[in-house]
Amino acid sequence: MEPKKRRGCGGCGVVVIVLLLLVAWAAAMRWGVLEKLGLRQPIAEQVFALPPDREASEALLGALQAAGMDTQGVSLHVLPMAGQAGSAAILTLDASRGFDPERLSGDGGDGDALEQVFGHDALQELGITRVAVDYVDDRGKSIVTLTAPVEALRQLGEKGADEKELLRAVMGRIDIPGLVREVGR
Amino acid sequence: MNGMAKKRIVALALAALMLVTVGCDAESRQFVIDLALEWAKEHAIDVGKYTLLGRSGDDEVDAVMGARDVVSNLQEADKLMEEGRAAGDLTKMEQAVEKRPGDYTYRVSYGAALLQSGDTAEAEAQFVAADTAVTSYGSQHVQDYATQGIDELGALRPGFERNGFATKQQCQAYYNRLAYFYGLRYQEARESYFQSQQTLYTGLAQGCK
Repeated sequence: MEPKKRRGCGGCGVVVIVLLLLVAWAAAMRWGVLEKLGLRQPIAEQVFALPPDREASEALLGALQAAGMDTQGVSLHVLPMAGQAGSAAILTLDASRGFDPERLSGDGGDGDALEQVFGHDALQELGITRVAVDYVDDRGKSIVTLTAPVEALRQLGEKGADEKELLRAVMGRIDIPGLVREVGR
Repeated sequence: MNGMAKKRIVALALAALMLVTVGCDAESRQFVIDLALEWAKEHAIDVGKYTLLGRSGDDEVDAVMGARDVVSNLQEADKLMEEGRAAGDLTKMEQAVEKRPGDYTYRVSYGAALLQSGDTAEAEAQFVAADTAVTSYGSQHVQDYATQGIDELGALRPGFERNGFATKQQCQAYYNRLAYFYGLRYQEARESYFQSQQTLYTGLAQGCK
């Protein structure tokens, strides 16, 4: 008796299941399902679990104010990183809380205050090894979040790096539609 | 706000990072805006990965991406702890600890308040959790932790001296904890004062009745 010929694709079911599992895994990662279910702590909470460096935050913010920057809508947090020797300085420029680039510095908004305060030496003295900037639009949505290690920026500055090298060193997220909307207003 | 000012916003986000390498005059700003778009092209794969998986693969970078939530959580927890400390409200202090379990500064305050209230077992549990967290944070944090512990437990001493301890366990937990914190300070500073204080409080704990 001849064996029955199998119809269709016998292995397709397995392939479909594997694909579905992959999609489910990707979706779980993308929307932080494990974190929402409390099965895993968000990576940011893990890395920034330590108490903030309030003295460094106040010193930097104070230096910005002393340099003439209007700090309405500006917040600065220095967060030590677990498992690392240094901290991350996170500067938030929040238009929904009154940040106005027109009033950024006393001399008409050239950003001199930022330039004076965010120098290598000042950051090194405060143990800051990573800097990050988050721009929040007037609807409270984060448009640009960028970060880079201070040392990488210093090295690039010393060797007079070109644009591409600089861009590679800066990681993060830019909401392009948001950016276009913001710039186009 | 005019268009130029809006452009400055985006430019500043990049400029603040790039101040160490590029200038910050008006021309640079426009240059930086162009860079922002250039950046998106350069990091197309990273952006795609982040969009799809919510992670870039670099923990530090991913942490910064979630820092806004951390800061918001921190502000709420700080407020709860501040109110809890001011009013001696254990519930608010507990909520602050739950929001940021790795923050030893909250646990020290909560532990001290629990010890004062007589809940010795829970106080000790808080201190042990803080011990565990702080050991992975590096020596400066250990010293900060011990200093805060000495300050906050030291502040309870006049009350205990005036009113006495409610139980032997409370007395032992209090003095043993102080001895432990002085021991941590001695390990780092190697100053005889810390060692003598450690010995003193160990002795007081042994004498609890």
